[in-house]
Amino acid sequence: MNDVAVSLTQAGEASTMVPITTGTIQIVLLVSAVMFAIGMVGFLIRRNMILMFLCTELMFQASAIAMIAFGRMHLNPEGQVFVIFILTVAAAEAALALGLVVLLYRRKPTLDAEAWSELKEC
Amino acid sequence: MTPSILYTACVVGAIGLYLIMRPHRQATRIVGTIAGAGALAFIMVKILEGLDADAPVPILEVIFGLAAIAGAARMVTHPRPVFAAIYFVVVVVSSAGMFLLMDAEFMAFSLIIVYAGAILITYLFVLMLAQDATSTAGEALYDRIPREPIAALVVGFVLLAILSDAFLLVDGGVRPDARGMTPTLASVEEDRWMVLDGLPIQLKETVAELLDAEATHAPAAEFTIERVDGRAIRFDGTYASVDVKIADESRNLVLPVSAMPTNAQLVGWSLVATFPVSLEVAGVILLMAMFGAVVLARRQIDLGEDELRVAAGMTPLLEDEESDFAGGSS
Repeated sequence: MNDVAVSLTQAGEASTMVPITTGTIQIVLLVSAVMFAIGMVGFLIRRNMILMFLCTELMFQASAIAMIAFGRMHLNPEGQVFVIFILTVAAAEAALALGLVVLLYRRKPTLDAEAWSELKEC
Repeated sequence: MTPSILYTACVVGAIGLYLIMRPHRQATRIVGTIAGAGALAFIMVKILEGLDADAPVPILEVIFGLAAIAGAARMVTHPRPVFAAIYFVVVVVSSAGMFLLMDAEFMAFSLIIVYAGAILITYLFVLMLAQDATSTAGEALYDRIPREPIAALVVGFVLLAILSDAFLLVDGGVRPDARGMTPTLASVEEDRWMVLDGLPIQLKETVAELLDAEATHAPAAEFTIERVDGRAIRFDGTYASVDVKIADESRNLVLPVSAMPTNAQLVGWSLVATFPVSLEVAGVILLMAMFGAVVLARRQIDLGEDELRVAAGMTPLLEDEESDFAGGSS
């Protein structure tokens, strides 16, 4: 009876799951590291407040790539679940940061972060 | 690959990014682009050289990665904010392509929908709302001149050197084929079948489809799935099977691979079964962000801090156009 069932349901097809290759994961991790570094440099060099927050989104993006890559390496979906939480935080951050930027723009009609350097202590 | 090669490439990349930062000098920008792209390509070639000769070359990952990094570099250096936001779309689409290559289809499409569709539109909207009146041809002065470029590059590329060192060199780099680094495929498959075990309706539909395919000439009989210790699916390392009881006759039914849960189902299962508290916290974060946005949006109607100080008889903190408001109240 068992043999009949096996033949009828084409159980002979093999699973298509393959482990990730070393070259793939190293390239992807390198890309994520470079993107994170560029995002950090951008956050420090840009003086436009909106673009500073856009650079933080770039850093989120880079860490999301690394998490997906490690999740793929361990063949479990938890890396992707982490990326969902990253998307949540990014969306919340975009809403709040842009609200704050618009408030600041109402006070001084410029997006220059240097215009608010009086908030520094020294 | 030795550490000195990696660090030299990081320095060359930093110099390249520094040269791209000067927006109105075409020649230095070209030199900087060549230097940065050359350093990146050199490291990628070094990675691929270190592999086995018969290992497949991840050509699509390389293409998407180069596109993402080019978009990122242009985004942080472009003098026009709207163009920078558009270049971020390039980054998002390229990384969505990388997600697809890494079997994360659900996240790839939600990335495009959420980032390129929702967040980017919000950014573009605010950028256009807050255009600088003093700018010429859409380029404000503060967008043309970078702030502390040398210090920022040193910080960023020291971080890059450490990260890439950890990914590529320490203990031979990240190696999925090393012993104990990744689980065996059989255990991964067992985990996935156990997810299907937790979805009783889908399991029942799958079994019904299998029985229908067997008995095309006759309607499939009523069946019940037998569970042993609460588990319906048995996995022997190669095939998963369920015990089905049809008219008091018990039989073993092997599930085809196509019945395995899809990527989106696995993510959803992991979200609700493994991280339920995090899911709740994410909901609270979104709720709080919504409250915060509403509070911030209402602030423009309320009195600001200076107006409150003036109303209390104190001098305002900011000496700009609000000072004539102070004169009117005194």
